[in-house]
Amino acid sequence: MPTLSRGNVWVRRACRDGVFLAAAMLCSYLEFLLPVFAFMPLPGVKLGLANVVTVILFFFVSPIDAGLVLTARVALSALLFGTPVSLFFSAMGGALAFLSLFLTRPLSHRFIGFVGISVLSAAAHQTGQIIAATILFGAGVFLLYLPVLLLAAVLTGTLTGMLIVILENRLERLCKKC
Amino acid sequence: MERNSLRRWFRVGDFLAIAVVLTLAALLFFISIGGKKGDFAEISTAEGEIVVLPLREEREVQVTSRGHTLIVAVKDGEVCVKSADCRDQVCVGTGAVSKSGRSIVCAPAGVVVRVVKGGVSDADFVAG
Repeated sequence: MPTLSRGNVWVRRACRDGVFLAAAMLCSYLEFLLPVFAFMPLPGVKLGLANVVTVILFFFVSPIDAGLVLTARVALSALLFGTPVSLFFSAMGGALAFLSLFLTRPLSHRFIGFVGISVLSAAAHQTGQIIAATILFGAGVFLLYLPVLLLAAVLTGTLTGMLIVILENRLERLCKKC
Repeated sequence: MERNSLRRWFRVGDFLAIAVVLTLAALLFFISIGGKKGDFAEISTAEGEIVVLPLREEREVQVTSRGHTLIVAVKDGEVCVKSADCRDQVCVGTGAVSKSGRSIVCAPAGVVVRVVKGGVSDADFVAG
């Protein structure tokens, strides 16, 4: 098998991040098409497949790439299937979820696994959405909806965390190559 | 073997993380069940129109805002958005609210239904 040439680091980075961005966009689109909890009247709840891409990039590649892909994904999915309001919601959610990844980073692998990381970032995402709603519409009433969103975050975070564990071994090899 | 397979999926911190989130949810929930009943439902639209409905009287109003139409209903001292023609249906899913300070929001239409106590906040009294 021919080894990949070292090449230009920036070109490789752009290609790699582009592939991850495409994957993240596909995940966003899938969730847009089939809201997993459509049969349950829980607005604001989704599986968080796109967050899987962010977490994988963050822990297997680098936080910078994860941040870049996250920003691009949020902006592009708002352009494609969102509104300015939904952009604000997902930007706040994304920012807080990203922050939570930084907080869990020192504990990762030994103490906390991907399930815990996913649950925390899902919870942070939901908290961010509630903060966005509070900024937009005033009043602290959205806090009342947060318990429901947090319960959902535990569920969806566990599922996506397990998905990352399944992907872990394959991805580690893939990421080393590119 | 059993232990190893569990170890593959979870770490100690995972359970701790889940416990923290669940505790937070429970805490917020218990804070939220408290609160006094409100007297009026104040409906504000994106166009700046404000409608006030007393929660004592049963009644239904149609609200149009930003091209969307919502049916807001007051029944048994509670207010709810009965139907809305927006895509996300967040407001309909919120259900009925009755406690002072609570609200229902329809983001696409820019409509906020807020339960208020006693006198009406500095709003124009349009209906009610």
